[in-house]
Amino acid sequence: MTFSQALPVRNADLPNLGVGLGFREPLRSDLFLNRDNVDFLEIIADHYMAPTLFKERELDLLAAHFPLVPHGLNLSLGSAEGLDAGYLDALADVVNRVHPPWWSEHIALTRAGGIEIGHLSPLPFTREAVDVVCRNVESAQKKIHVPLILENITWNVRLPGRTMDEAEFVTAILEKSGCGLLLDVTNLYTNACNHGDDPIQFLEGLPLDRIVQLHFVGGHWFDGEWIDSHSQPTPPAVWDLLDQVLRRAPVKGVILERDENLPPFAELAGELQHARALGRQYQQWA
Amino acid sequence: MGLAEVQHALARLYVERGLRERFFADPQATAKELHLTDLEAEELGRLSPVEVARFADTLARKRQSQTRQFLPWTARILGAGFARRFLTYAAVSHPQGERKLLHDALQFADWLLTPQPGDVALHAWKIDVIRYEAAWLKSSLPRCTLRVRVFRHDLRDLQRRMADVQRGTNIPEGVESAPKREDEPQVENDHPSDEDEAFTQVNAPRRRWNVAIWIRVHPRGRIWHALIACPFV
Repeated sequence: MTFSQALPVRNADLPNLGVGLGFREPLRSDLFLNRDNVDFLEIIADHYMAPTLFKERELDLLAAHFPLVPHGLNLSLGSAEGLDAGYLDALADVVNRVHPPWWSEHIALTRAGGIEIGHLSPLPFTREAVDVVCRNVESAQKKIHVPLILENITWNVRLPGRTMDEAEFVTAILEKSGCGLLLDVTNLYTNACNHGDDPIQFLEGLPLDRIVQLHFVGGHWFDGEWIDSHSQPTPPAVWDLLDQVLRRAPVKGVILERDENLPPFAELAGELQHARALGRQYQQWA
Repeated sequence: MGLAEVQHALARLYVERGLRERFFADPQATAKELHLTDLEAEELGRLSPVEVARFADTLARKRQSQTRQFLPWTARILGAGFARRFLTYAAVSHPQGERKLLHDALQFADWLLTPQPGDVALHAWKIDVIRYEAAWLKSSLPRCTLRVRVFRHDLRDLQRRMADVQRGTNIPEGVESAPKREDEPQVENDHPSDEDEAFTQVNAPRRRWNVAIWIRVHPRGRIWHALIACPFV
């Protein structure tokens, strides 16, 4: 049974947005000076909830010049207790203001029992968790009538009781909810580094026709672990994975998700050009 | 009992160090405290303590990093003491709700201004810096504001010194200047940089009355701020 028939994401119906950047305030000036290098922007929805007048104007200015895709951080679609109504209303205000072709959130838990965990934490790969996510997706879609795509996360804690592997878990959620997939290629690489998983095997276990958008960026090693810090240039292994995905899936948008240690804009533009060239190779966009 | 209760227990294990240690020492004994059935406690007991502790450390570092961004002067003047004190504070305080990051920073600032048993008392000028940053944070809450604070130390002068240290023009002898970020692999920084230690070794700001004013006439409007050094000492 499919929980949500209201807004199943049909990849073919979605516009091809191209290659873009996660918007960060320090990049604002350079962004407008280099508009030709950026096809669309992903905005962190949380930054525009209950906004100041300044942030409101910023959002409207960005929306006037770029297609925007809002990306939520704290909806906690994996919460068995359901969604936070106040947060959902605030998120709906942001999404509805910018009229995006889709919006995104995570297959994760960020709050439970009144406790804010403060980070995306993993779900058990079980049928019960699939049902919880799909139920919450349905609740969200009653408020936000825009296609939703769901992102895979990095995880450091293996929860007991799993009855399927991660690819099967993600696939089950997508097929039951009707959502598209925001495939974070760097997260895929991070989990492969830290848990010894085969990223290509994971990729081939996914419904490739549901991949709508990609994330990519670089991280760093810390204490023997690869950290998805969003703070470094994209490493060769992630570029290779990006190539593998673009070869297989009809992706509609790719976002460079650099958050920290921001370099000169020319360096970011170079990475965007590289991603664009990869996509052109597989006729993903003009 | 079900997934909601298990998730609540997991969230507590992630953020409460003492509880985490008790749980992994004896899951069944701690089950009642976590409102888990014996079966759920047994299942969660199969979690890797190393993985959970590592994730908990990630959460603590992230929370500290976020608080540093709200209290940059405080982080700089306290040096290594910022991380040490934050860990103590964070073990007993878990902010919730809207603007939780800002409230976390505000609560930490209030905690720093409250004498803590066993901790070294802060210099008066450091207290002034923490009060100044706390006032900024309170003024940034979305409401009309008129806030006036008086300080005994010259924070304007301090602001200049901080900028000098960052540019590497005011490093005390014997202390290496902070390494340029592009020359080293980026790591998560919960240890003091040489820059922080350099700053704490700089002479304290002179005693001079400063008055700070924050005005916000619209709850979502801009904050007008002035920091005035009084002409008399």
